[in-house]
Amino acid sequence: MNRWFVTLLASLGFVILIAGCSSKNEPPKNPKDAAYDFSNEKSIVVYGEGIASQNTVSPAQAIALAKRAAITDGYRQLGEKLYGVKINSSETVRDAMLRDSRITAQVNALIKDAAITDATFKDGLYSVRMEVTMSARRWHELFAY
Amino acid sequence: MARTVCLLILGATQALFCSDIFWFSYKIVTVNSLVIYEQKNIASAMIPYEGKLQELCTIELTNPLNLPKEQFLRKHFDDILPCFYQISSHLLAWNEQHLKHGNDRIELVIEPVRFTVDFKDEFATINAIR
Repeated sequence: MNRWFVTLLASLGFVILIAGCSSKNEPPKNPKDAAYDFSNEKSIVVYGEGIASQNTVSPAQAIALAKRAAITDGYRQLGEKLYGVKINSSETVRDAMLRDSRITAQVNALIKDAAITDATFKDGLYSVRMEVTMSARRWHELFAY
Repeated sequence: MARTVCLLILGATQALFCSDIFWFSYKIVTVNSLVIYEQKNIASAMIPYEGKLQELCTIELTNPLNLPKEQFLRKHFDDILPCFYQISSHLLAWNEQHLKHGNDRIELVIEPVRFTVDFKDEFATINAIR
């Protein structure tokens, strides 16, 4: 009885070992195929904000300028997400105290096909919702050159 | 003399046929979320160009006074501007933090693009030419 039990355990262990070594039947992934994959679309949504200026000839002009500032801010945020941000930072410490601190963030981007999906104006602040839909295929289509 | 006349006729013909094609470009600079600079450009194209049309938008816009197209478009620049946002926009942004002070500057440029406007009923259709 004990010998049967040991044989059974050994067989089970052998089966598990063999199953672990077996390879999956998935075809090898080709990086070029990902470029034509329509399934992995992703929307990038940002909210840009702009302030209404005090030095305008009319409230309408202030709103128009605030909207444009908000759109520009939205584009900047999209650029940050699509291309990344270059950060330069320096800090000076003297006698164990922070004397100086400078952080510079830069974005350099080319954005196509961004859509403004919503816009609101409240208390002098214009807010726009901007969206760009991106997939690997679309990325290659728009930005690869 | 004859050559000059021929060149003049050729130039006039080209200007006549190109009168419906325009260039558009735009630049805006904001500092700390306030617009400090705007450059709006609309100009007639001088050289004929046959490219692929890309419909940008259809907006409610009429020309009841029958103004020349270029003048009319310049007058209604703010109305047609949103149509061009979807075209490639180049962006440069700087954000500098120095101790308690912050400075945020964004420059957005819509690169020059050829376009046409077709007026029909109360609507205007704007097509980019690529």
